[in-house]
Amino acid sequence: MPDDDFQAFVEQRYSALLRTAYLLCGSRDRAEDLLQSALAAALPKWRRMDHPEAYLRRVMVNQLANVWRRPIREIVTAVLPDRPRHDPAIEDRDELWTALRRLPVRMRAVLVLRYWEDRSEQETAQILGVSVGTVKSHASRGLDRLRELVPAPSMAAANGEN
Amino acid sequence: MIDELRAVLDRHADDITPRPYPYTRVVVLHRRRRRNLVSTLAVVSVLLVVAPAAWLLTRSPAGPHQLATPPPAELLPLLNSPTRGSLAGDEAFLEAMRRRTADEVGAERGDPANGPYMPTDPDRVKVLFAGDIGSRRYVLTAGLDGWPLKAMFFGHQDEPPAHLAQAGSGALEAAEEATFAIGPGPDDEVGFLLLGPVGAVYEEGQAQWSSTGVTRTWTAIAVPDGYLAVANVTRIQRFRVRLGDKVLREVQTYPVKAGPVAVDPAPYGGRGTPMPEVAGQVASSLTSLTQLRDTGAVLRVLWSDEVPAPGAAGGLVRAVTVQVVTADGGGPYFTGVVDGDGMWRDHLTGSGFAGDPARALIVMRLPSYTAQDNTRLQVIAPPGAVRAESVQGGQVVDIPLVDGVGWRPAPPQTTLTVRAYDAAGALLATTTFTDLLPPGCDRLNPPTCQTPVPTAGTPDPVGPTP
Repeated sequence: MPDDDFQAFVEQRYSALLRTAYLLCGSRDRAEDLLQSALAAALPKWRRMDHPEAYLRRVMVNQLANVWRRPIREIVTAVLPDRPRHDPAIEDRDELWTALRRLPVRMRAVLVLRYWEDRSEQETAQILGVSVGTVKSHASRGLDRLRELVPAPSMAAANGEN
Repeated sequence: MIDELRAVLDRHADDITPRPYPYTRVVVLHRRRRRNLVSTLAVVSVLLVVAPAAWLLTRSPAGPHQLATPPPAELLPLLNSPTRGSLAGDEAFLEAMRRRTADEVGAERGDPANGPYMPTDPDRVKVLFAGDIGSRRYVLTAGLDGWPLKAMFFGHQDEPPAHLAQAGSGALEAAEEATFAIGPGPDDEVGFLLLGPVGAVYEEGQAQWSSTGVTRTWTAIAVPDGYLAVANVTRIQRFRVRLGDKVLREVQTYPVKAGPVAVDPAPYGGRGTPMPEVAGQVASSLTSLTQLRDTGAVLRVLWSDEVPAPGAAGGLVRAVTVQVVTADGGGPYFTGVVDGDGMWRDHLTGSGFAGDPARALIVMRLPSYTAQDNTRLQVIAPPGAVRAESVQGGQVVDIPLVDGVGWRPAPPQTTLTVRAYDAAGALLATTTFTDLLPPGCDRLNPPTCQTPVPTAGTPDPVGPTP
């Protein structure tokens, strides 16, 4: 049953959560699907949740990881998209952004949570359901991998010049 | 590399805007999933277990609604009331909404054995409200049998029945309310509807606050159309609807946008450091919660300081406690904290009622920016206090005070007694702190906090100063 608190939460936090979802999956439409799906999963448990934001992030990451494991992806969408399903091609010109999207889901999630949401290692570990050590190693290896994927000159370009 | 990564993430995140009506879409998706799950379970159950029994049952002449009992007596006044709203006379519109409700809601909630239910027969569905409120069209329908389910539909003014979005369903109550956004954005204004039975009295309440609680005076409101609607909520109002002596529903409206509230940021008795911006925001929240915005209410900052908070940006938060000064010298208070990124938090224990700050003692848990509770219990004692002590399970812990302010660590789910003393060792104030508040407790609305909950430990009795 719809819940006033849940509705208020969705209305207040939707934009912020959508940005996180987008950074996790790299696609506007998939971000909407991902967040909608996580919120739909949260709705029946809403009254029992202590930390809904952490729960939603974990569900999104898990769903994303599971989607990648599945050979056939089910796209869950509540409404028809009101515009074409192609993301702007400009995103592909950003090498660091492109490199980030090539990382494994959980590694990318660690980088987003740690360096965009500025969450602590402990909090990131709690959200993702992994150990702090895993967070540390994912963050370190993720940054190393980005350095490998993005040649040094391009980083300056990625930093606001395109 | 980290700075470059942050910049890239910031730039891409800034471009993201949500599609309209996210909440409605979540509800629709949830219902679709539940329907699929129920369908799957039903098929499996029928195949494995229920089929023989069902076969026997279907040999009887039982109809689909035979299990439905009459609706609860307290719902009959609303169900027996005529349709209200500007479209109440449009029989074609009402018939279309009855049919939509029976087809869409009855199809998934049409079993009276599973709680509130919606008949699949349109003739057993009633439109309780259908009309335009400001720029929005709202329709409320309900089943007429058994434990009635309600269904809500929203749309823009002038939209036909087929275009309205089903916004949810739930158990019907004796009086109904609806709050809805006028526009698609989270900062758009909201409208409001309060709908009781015909003959009900609608009243607006004015609160009188004190250091110990709140009492309200109620004044009847004329509702010539038989319902109370606010097309654009621009101020905080508290309404209730009653039938005879029975209050059916009590609600409060909040505007989305509110102007600044003036408050002297200097904390009382020098307890901390002035923080004008944060104090203004907290004062704004407090006057909204207490319905005292724009009433000339006197406010004062009880405490204001920068304190550590795990997970907060920069590791620090600016915390301010603001109190409404009532005739008896005390009043309701509220605490808000904000970190370096402008992220706001409050904690349930950070609001309540306190007396004259020269004698009042407040203990609260500060909010957390991580998944775990903040362990910091903040003590705001009379400015004349030089030390405090907490007593828990017979164990006494000293709490040093500076200008009447101090703190101690405490794990979650704590209940303890705190005492504050002056330089001569005289007891100035004492209070009991507990995290174990009833679910849904609003400490500025005392009736919601009077349900006892099991406690982890009993607070120590407050005795004479040792």
